[in-house]
Amino acid sequence: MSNRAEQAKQGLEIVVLYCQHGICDDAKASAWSQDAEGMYVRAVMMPCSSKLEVPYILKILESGADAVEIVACPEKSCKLLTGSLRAERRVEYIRGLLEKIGYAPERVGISRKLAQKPDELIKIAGTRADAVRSLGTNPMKTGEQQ
Amino acid sequence: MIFAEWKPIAELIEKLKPYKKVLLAGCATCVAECAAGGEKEVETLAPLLRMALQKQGHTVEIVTATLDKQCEWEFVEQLAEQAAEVDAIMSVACGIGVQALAERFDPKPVYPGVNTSALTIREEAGLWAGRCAACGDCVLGETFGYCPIARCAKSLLNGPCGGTRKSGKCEVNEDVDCIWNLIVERAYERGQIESLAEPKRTKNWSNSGHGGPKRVIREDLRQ
Ligand code: SF4
Ligand code: SF4
Repeated sequence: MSNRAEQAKQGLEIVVLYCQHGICDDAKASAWSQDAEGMYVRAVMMPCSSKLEVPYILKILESGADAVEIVACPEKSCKLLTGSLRAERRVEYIRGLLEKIGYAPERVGISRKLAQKPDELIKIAGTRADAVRSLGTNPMKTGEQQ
Repeated sequence: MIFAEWKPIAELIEKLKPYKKVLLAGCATCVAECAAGGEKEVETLAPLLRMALQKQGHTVEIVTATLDKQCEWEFVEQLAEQAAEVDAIMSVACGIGVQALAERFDPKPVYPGVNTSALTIREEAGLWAGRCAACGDCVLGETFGYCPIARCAKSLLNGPCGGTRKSGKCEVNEDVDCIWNLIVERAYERGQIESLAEPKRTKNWSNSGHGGPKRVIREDLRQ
């Protein structure tokens, strides 16, 4: 059985993209992954949520992730002032695109909060996982048609 | 810039689903400026199409390429190798680019991924507005730099129509300036309002689409 298939069996695969400015220095790491209750979390640190590009998110979903959660700074603490606002708008745009192809928009979400520790990122990933659990796994992962 | 917008994704899927391998081809010039067919949009549309196709049970491999210009033969040639390996091409360039690919790679089926709809300026980030309709007989010199063909809902040469809103907006769309209101205001500002009193000369439409297919020859530039 492939790694992906094993993960699918174990739980949802949630990708968390988080702004480097929102995490405390000793927890900074460019990428890490962790098994958590009912899900497998892959986390990637971004230089700023304004760097979030639409194709990047879609390719993560295309590659089979069940959901993507962007963790951006709250409006007032965004280092680039409008970075997290832009990220929020792009997420809205992506959700609209997903709807157009019959995918649940809940597969992409954004939280605008300072998640200082990896534990908090896992908690946020859990909220996203709860939002998509009823949808089942991403059809791109299983090769299923819906 | 030439302005284009994605066709509805369902329409694109219908075109692509009979094929095994398709090239999605972008253009890094006008359609990139209007966020419809540049590299970023190609790399956005490709995963969307793959996901939509798979969801409907079609296995179509989609490869991508974005040319600097899809309306110049030298650039079009860069697609030759990829084009040979696919069953069909979908272009998200303007209609000129689509036709260039259809001509160069005949008999490969080439489909438009966008609707080319206007000649626009980007007024601000995320907002484009029509400025020219390529009418072939420019009147901007008589209308104080505002185009009544592209920017008046009725393309009036002698305006305004009488329906201008109190706000100065067009009666057809309250979000759009009545261009004749702006023309009149600018004429007043320049002390030339009387220039608008005379009916405009008859416009020569034969130099635009009304005159049949356009073909221009410049002997000095020919080889
Ligand atoms: S008058 Fe004709 S050529 Fe001039 S800007 Fe308007 S549509 Fe374009
Ligand atoms: S209100 Fe102004 S822009 Fe609108 S149709 Fe009339 S003249 Fe044209």
